[in-house]
Amino acid sequence: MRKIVEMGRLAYCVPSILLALGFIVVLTSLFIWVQPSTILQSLISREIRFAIGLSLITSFTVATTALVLGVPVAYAMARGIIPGGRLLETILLIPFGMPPVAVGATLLVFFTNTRPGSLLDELFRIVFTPRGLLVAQFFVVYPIVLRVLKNGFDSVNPIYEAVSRTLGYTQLKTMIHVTLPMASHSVLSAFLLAFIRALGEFGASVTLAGAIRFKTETIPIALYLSISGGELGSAMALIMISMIVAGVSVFTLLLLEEKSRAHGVVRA
Amino acid sequence: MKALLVQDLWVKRGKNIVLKGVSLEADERSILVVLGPNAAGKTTLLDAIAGIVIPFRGLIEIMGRIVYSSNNPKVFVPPEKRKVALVPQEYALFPHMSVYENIAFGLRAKKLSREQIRAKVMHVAEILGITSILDKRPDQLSGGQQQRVALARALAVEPDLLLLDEPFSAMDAPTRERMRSELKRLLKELGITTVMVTHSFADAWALGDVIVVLKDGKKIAGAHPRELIEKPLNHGVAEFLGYIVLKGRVEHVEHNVVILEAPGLLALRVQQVNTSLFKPGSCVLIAFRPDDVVLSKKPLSDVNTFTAKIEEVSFTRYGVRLIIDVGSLKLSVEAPRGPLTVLVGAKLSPGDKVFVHIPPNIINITPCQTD
Ligand SMILES: Nc1ncnc2c1ncn2[C@@H]1O[C@H](COP(=O)(O)OP(=O)(O)OP(=O)(O)O)[C@@H](O)[C@H]1O
Ligand SMILES: [Mg+2]
Repeated sequence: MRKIVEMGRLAYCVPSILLALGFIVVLTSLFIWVQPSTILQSLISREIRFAIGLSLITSFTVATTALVLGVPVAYAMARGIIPGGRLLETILLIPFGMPPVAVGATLLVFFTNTRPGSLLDELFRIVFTPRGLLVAQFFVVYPIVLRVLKNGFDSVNPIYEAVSRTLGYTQLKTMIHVTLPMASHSVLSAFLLAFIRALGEFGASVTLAGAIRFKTETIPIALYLSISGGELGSAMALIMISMIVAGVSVFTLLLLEEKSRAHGVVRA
Repeated sequence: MKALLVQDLWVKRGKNIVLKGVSLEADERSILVVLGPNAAGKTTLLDAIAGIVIPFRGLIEIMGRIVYSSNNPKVFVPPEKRKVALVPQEYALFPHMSVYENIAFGLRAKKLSREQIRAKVMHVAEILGITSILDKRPDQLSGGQQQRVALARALAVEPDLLLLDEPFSAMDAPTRERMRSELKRLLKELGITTVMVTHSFADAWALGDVIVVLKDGKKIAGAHPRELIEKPLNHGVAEFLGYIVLKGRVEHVEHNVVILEAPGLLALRVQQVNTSLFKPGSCVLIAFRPDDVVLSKKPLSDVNTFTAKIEEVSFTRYGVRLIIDVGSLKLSVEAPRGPLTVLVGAKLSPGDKVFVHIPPNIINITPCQTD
């Protein structure tokens, strides 16, 4: 009996360990190309620091905006408040299934070749500016936020909201004191997934905002510039940074998940 | 003034019309029980009174104030302004709050100081005997404790109307019995007008000042339980609730026990508090739930135990459904597999002889209508 259990455990452990090892080998393989000192030097360059700063700022802004705009829409979809909710959901999820470059190109056409688009561009200066980064990243990230939030709201039984209403809480207060805390796990996940996805966003950003040094140069765009310019040292530094940022973000995500589960908030 | 007045209420859920012209009323400080089978529309009725679903026709008045009206002028008062408190079937304690915070929740929506809130929470917690669990989380509580906390949360805001949805459904039989009398005492002490919905005849009789029977979204009966007993038991009502209804004759009456004779059931003993209504030789209507009878291989008791023959055996999701023949009476009984295996044996087949025990305290009797 015990033997079988141990064999079973082995069947889970072996592939997990092998895959993790495989990932480590792949992720670190780039670094044998370059001297550590070159990487260190690039790390302190002004350009790379600019790219890190810009990436963090745009990703944070985009994740926050997507969350704020995601809550009412995801809630409406989860509770079936809007007639034709499925059509709405489909429309809002389309960018999720498109190659990011296609999203960027579509946005570029909109802002340069349509009347409302050009008007917006004139007002806010979007094409080939850092604001373009925000717009491009938003379109890529918003569908993810919507999905995760909707799942979260689905898991909150409306009976809790009903009780809250009868106890004197308005719809808005109920959202703040009951629905959001009960879906806090999903809200956190949505934010972090959006943040991580925005950090790595390249296709849509480069198409709409361009690859302009010290202007629209996020980590992925800086990486693109250094690789095409043959600057291997800074490329490696950027790759390392993106790995570290991704690692830290994902780890935080997992920690927060565990914490909200420990609080019993996740149970529906 | 009526504490609650509902007139010709029509409610849709999705595409279905779930309530079809329901009218009812409750006096101040009374307990109105709405009794009905699954899908009768009981929860929907509570939701409509609370303002969680919006009817499409009718009138709802709480303490003389119109909270919903489809006539001119149209009125819809949102739930947070109705002064009703809802205890849903699944209790719905907020999992992200402690017991204390759950009870304080409704009070925090009012303009009260921390001390006032604390005092009120402690007060209801004391009444309900839950002061020792105030720091716990809902998932650390037993079903009975959860119910008390849900009640405390509702009572803390001192509502005009308390709405209870199947308050005992999550409890085992002994707990259920205890909580029933406890709840009744509490509600009467606090003098709070209550609408309770249930599918249990016993709950309805134990708690209701007035019982309204709801079926397929329509009210099919409404009366004081005393009337239901003193006047004839409504055949239709009992039968639709899954009761077996038989006619019998009173043999004699002992202290608190009426002994009857019914087809197939000789010397049937029934526990009854008010035995004065039953004169020897008079006609009685007997009602009991077939699922409350106990089957066994050996006689379990020397009263109300009858021999029977199994006619049909079929397996269901919950256990075994048996059709048994007791004298001239055919009973369709569904029993969980475990107890059945212990008491009767693992193998059941048509033709087997079993004993049927009908506990004296599960039988309802009323005098027959004299006409
Ligand atoms: N949100 C909903 N959408 C569509 N139909 C619903 C909804 N809620 C309830 N119904 C339907 O309305 C009818 C009445 O439901 P309701 O929950 O009021 O019955 P109930 O008497 O409380 O039943 P139960 O004893 O099972 O709790 C059922 O047929 C149910 O399927
Ligand atoms: Mg119900």
